[in-house]
Amino acid sequence: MTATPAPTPVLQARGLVKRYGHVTAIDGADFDLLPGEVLAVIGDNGAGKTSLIKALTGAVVPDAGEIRLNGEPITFSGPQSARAHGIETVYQDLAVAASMDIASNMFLGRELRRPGVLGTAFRMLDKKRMRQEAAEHMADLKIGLRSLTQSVETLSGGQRQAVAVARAVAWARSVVVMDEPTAALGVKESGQVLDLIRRVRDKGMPVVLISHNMPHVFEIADRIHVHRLGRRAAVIKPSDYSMAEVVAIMTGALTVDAAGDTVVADSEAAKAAGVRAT
Amino acid sequence: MLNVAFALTHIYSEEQTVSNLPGPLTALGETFPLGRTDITYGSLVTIALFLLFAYALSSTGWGRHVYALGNSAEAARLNGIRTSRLTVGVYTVAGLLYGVAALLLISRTGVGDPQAGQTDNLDSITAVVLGGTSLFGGRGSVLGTFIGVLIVGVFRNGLQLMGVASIYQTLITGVLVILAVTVDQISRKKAR
Repeated sequence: MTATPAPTPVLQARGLVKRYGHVTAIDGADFDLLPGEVLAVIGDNGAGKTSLIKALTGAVVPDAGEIRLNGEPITFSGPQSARAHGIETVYQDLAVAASMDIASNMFLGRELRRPGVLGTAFRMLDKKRMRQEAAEHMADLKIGLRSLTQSVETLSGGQRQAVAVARAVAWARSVVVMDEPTAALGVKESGQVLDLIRRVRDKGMPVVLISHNMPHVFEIADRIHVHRLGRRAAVIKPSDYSMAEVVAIMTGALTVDAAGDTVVADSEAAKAAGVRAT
Repeated sequence: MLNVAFALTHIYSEEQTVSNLPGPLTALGETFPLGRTDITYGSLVTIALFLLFAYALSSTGWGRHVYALGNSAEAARLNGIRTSRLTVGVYTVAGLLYGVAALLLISRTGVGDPQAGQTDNLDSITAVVLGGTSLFGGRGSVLGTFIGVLIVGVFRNGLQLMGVASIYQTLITGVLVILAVTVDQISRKKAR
């Protein structure tokens, strides 16, 4: 009998530590992102999930621990270093230049130049090619926008989010990280962004999704990484637990043992949350 | 810095207008005939600079980065643009242009007058805002500025020829600025 080998995680961390003076933001955290999945990272405010994500995207250099990309150990010297390794982030405030058009935003910081002398000596931009490729990337993700030359500020919140996601997907080679993508959106637009995330995953690009929105997390995530007190409290499948149980794990009322069963850690809190051990 | 530079010119020149400037300094004031009129070399330099920056801002990566920086420094930084370097670069270019402008001014008048150009500061802002550049950054074009410059220049010149006192010129130009900023605000609100 041969067992299928476990797939190599695309992005993995073991024992990450980061301290700021007396505060330990990351306290021996582990992390695994498997190929082709949407992994939601949830945790209460102050749990340290932002610090964890920053360490994984190069914005913060951990004091200890190991990060592996596709099995190879790696250290990031800064956010640009992570981008160079194919890890793209969609920030919560989108980081778009409002008065510039969609194509310009897609290539912001990575503009294409005309071939030959025009490109090298005169540094002329290849606007036509950028517009074409931007259109292709948007069409690839089935994002419907009438004109690519309209400025980003004239778009709705959901459309702007779609442009930011398309940009990250266009450049990402390994991972796309999304920080609270539906936080500022209404119901319909959230639905459209969640569909978009599904399409990204179906293209084969794994997604790390940071979110406070439990219904959205349960709708889209293949697995949920619950972060608590600077470490990974549990990584579970949303199909195996109820939303209330997951929230209880997040707050510490329940813990998950090795068999995947929940154990009441704090009976008062568990009772208040309406959950019990399985 | 404006005050420092202002004070230094007055102290250095001892409030005197400096005449007898060496040839090369006023070379840009020399003219050449074109059709029935004479064009100064200074005008050619000005037009060349306008064309150069129109190109740089609209068709190079540097130009796009400058616009992005004006839109949102944080967004620019998150996209890999080196914002500190870029900011220093923009101010350096601006400094160079101030130097050229000073040369053009003394070439036009033939003397170095510490009082000269005092209202040009306000006029520049007026011209730039009239031309569509937003005071909040991120928006504008060199062509728009060129048109703004023509408007303010013709205005000033016309008022001068009419014999309107300098202080009224300043008043009218000031009203123009208010008008320009108001239009800028309204058009930005409409764009949203």
